[in-house]
Amino acid sequence: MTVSNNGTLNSRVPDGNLQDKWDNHKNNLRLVNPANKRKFTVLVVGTGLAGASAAASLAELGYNVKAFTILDSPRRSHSIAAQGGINAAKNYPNDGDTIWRLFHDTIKGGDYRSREANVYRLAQVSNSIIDQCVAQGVPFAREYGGLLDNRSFGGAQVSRTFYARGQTGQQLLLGAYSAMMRQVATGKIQMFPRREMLDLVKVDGKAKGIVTRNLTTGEIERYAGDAVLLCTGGYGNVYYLSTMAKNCNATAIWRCYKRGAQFGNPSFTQIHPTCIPVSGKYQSKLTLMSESLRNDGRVWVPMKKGDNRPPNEIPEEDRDYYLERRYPSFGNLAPRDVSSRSAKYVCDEGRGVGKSGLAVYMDFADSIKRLGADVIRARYGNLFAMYEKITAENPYEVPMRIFPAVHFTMGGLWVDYNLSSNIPGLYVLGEANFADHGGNRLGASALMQGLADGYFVIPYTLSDYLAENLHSEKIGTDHEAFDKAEKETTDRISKLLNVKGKKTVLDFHRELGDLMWDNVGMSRNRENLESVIKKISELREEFWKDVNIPGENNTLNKYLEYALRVADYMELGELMARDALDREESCGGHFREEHQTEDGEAVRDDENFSNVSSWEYKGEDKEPEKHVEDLNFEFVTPTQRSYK
Amino acid sequence: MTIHLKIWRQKDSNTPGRLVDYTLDDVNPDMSFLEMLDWLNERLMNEGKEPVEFDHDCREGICGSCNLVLNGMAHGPYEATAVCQLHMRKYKDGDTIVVEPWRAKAFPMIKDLVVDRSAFDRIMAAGGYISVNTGAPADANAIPVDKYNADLAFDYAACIGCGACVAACPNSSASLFTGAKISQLAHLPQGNPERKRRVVRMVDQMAEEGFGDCSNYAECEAVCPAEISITSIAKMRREYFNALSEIE
Amino acid sequence: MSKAATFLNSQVGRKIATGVTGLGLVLFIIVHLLGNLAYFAGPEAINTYSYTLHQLGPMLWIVRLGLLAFFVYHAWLGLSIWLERRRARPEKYEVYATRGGASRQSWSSNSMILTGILLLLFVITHLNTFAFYDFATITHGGVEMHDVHARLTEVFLHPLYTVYYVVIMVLLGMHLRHGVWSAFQSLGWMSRKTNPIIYSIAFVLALIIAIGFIGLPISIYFQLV
Ligand SMILES: Cc1cc2nc3c(=O)[nH]c(=O)nc-3n(C[C@H](O)[C@H](O)[C@H](O)COP(=O)(O)OP(=O)(O)OC[C@H]3O[C@@H](n4cnc5c(N)ncnc54)[C@H](O)[C@@H]3O)c2cc1C
Ligand code: HEM
Ligand code: FES
Repeated sequence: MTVSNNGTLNSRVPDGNLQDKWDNHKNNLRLVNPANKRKFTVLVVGTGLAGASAAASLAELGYNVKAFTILDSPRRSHSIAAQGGINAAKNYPNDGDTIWRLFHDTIKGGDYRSREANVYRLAQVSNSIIDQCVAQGVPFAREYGGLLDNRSFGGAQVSRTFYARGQTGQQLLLGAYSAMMRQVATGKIQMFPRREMLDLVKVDGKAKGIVTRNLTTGEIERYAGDAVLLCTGGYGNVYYLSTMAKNCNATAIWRCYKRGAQFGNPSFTQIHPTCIPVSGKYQSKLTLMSESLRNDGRVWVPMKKGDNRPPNEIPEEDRDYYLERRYPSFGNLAPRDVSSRSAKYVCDEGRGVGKSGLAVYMDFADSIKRLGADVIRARYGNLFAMYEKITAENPYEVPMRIFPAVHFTMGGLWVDYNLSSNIPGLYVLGEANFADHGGNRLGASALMQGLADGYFVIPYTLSDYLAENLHSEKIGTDHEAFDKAEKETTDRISKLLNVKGKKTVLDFHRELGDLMWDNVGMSRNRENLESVIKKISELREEFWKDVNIPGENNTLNKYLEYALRVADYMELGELMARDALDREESCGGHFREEHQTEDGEAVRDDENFSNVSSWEYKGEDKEPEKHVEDLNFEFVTPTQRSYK
Repeated sequence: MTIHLKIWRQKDSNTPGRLVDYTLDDVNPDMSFLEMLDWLNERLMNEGKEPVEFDHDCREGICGSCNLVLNGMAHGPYEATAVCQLHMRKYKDGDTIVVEPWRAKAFPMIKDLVVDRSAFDRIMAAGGYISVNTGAPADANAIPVDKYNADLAFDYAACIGCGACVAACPNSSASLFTGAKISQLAHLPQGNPERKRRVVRMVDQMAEEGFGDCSNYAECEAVCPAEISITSIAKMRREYFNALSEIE
Repeated sequence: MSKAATFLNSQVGRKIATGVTGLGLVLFIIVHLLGNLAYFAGPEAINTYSYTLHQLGPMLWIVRLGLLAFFVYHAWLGLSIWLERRRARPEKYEVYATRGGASRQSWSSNSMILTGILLLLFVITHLNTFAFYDFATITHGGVEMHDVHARLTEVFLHPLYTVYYVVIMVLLGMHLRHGVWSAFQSLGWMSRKTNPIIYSIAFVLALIIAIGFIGLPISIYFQLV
């Protein structure tokens, strides 16, 4: 493995005061005049919050936008499932919030593994996001006076989270989607649903187009453009079970990685502490129970191992409220990574509950006693109902059973301050990039990031690139680079279809998921990581020899789509393990057992790892090369996070 | 438990489809309906047969992808439940379930249980938005919205766009879908200037797509996983009436 | 197309028109029912009532033509909505069932087209039996007028006609059980709160109208008056 800092990673963070960087930068970015804008075509891949907001904003400016999604409509993207809310530093409640404080909480929450300038900009534009969404008709929660309501979320000490019941992601996405549909009507956006990007086309080192598969007809299609925006979301489904929507995948970013885009911090995964536990092998996905529940739920397990009494029969003195015990000042509101790991520890000790022993209780009995069932119903009614639907247990009467689950990937393609990958013309937005959350994402900040990227960053930074390329030659889809990319894609598909093996894709995905969860999950160590790298590569070999894909290429064939994605997970999983192995420290969601204090808290190594690991693909059987981008903290001083 | 399935199989819109019988004898009551279909597909693939295609994504009732008609009811027999949230424990051992796709001219068949719902996107493109460019709108609190109207707007905004309303409607009308969006925006001060144009255009588009008229059966409300009320349809009609001046 | 035509051809406009014509017909029917009640007050009352109406001259014709227009238009709308429904789902469900709950599918709403068409046929025969009938005359208080009373008595002593009439009135009740509520929804006069109230009122109204109309032939047939 080589470590280099050979100049490929220029973060392009502008000079100056933290507060002035973005404004100064905007003043210096080149513009494209209105008459020239319509000469440019921008390909937006993915129409979640990041993609929809970018597509709409760019079309409004006059660019021709072609937008792609694997789903049947842009309204359905994974972003729709976000429940909790979106942060902004509006300080409406007058509780002392400021842009600086939001910035500081976010960078600290990320365990100081993100770029100061990016995070500050995120906090700066957060307020505009709320203004924009309200203008679009997003029905945020309001108070009787008619003004917007805020709540405290994810352990923040101020109330800065805007929400729309338990469906914030849905409402924000529908807002962005409607803005997009307005541009579809003007003809500025051409929408391509049920299309999956399978390759990136580069000409002279620049991103110039994409190759997609039409998921209804199986046709391989070519699209040329002056820039490509990847907004394809996170890759949590590498773990098989996660809270991600079933169609979330890594294919687009992985194909770009294989075309030379670098992958930043691939091992940084967020494991969310409050999900409904696994109930059996048939389980296809996990459901999140909003973190807001932790405001009123108390988390506990039995004191003793193997205590099989029903929860309501276990007396107080036999219960261990382990979060309150270990983290007296934050208690049940300890950050996600810390809470998740604690749950894992108690289950590892054999004190887990439920049939599988892989669950802890979240108990509302005290809150119901204190506030009354009606107050609890008003706060969490829909979540309780959802829980009951899935588990057939009534959380008003018995404590919920919860367990951590993969929820978000902080890692992603490396981008600079302009959201450009190291391939000119290839931009990466939203969860697909690695940028703003460092080692751990704070609640209600992913929605903020996706929309910041799409509404308020890319319209500026993209124009700079396009202005520079105003006179460069237009590439048509008959260019040989398209021929090549298309051929490689069709070859890959026929190779897969011709394996005609015995094991189903799902079998392979489950196996990969188990390997990842056990070894590259909440707690990692050298030995396991080394062995899992080998195991994944064996599994991958087996996959290409023995996978059974039904049907043909020329119709809707979801198991073929799925197989192509799993093939990519097999490679990505290995890179994640490699990155986790390489990062000899514990930070945020990345916990290396070798690097902990005596009482099990994470120990960061700022001396050697105050940086981003960015991986470059070197070829089929070669090890990837690691580059590092040093993180310079000019304005905040990294401290050890403590929630004791 | 044992479940007998009769599933609609259809290669594409040009080939006629039919119900095919399947029996699963190892269904776990904790499975969701879609997990049972995954299970069936695994079985079929191991037997060298083609799996059943169906749409799904979030599997938590919010994205609106899943769309199955079970024994004649869109999303199955339980109120406020998308089929992805329906668990097999609600059925009895030995039950027979007929599984069909959404059927409507405006939702052309793609394959098996998958249909094309892009007509909804076109209705939205006809006017389901507030015309505001990204930029610097007024402060979010500049226009207060009383809680009553804000809450109502939310009730209508909760639509997940699954199309169950169309599927269940004896007339295949899209009035609940269209009415919900119109009502959401009509309860908010934002977007007021284009209020009339919006309703006229969206209603026109709805007809253009080939959806039927609404005969007030209210079946749509009964099957809606987001519990959208037909009051939204009444509201749409008032809005349309008030938009007379915009009609050409 | 003119504004009005566009409006009336739109899906919403069509329903508003169905509602307006439907409610118009309901109003007429209520007036008609009240008129029928005059029979119970004896020959002079009902004959005078009929005579007074005929004295309206051109006004009567305007009302009659208006009614006819409403009726025909209503029937045409009903038919076209039904035809549209057949077009909108070319391939039927193998199994179809209502979910219940908020659904307003019922024997009444599901048979609107059938009850409607039967009403249409009935009205034609009905006009033939009464409106275009060459009545005998009678003199009340020195004024010569049609003996409507005698005709009614004659007709409803026929068992077949009475049964036919009663059945049709039951169908009318069915049409209105859904129809009255539906018209309010079509005109947008509906909220979550009023929905169940109007639905109940519609039921009561349909019942009253059906029973009201059935009352007359039954009373005559069994010679209760
Ligand atoms: C259950 C849950 C709850 C959450 N709650 C919150 C919350 O309360 N607050 C918060 O801030 N964050 C929350 N998050 C995180 C947040 O929702 C996501 O991080 C964010 O929405 C990601 O948005 P995105 O636009 O980057 O990607 P996505 O919404 O995932 O969109 C990806 C898009 O890319 C398309 N796509 C993918 N691959 C391809 C391809 N190869 N070709 C073409 N198209 C492709 C997809 O179709 C989709 O349109 C939550 C996440 C989960 C799972
Ligand atoms: C005695 C005369 C009639 C009365 C009082 C009457 C009344 C009504 C009313 C109040 C409605 C509800 C309107 C709405 O849904 O908006 C209605 C609907 C309807 N009527 Fe009539 N009607 C009469 C005759 C007819 C006739 C002759 C026909 C048809 C041939 C007919 C067919 C229909 C149909 C099909 C509907 C349902 C419309 C829909 O599906 O939306 N009706 N009627
Ligand atoms: S799969 Fe998303 S609503 Fe059912």
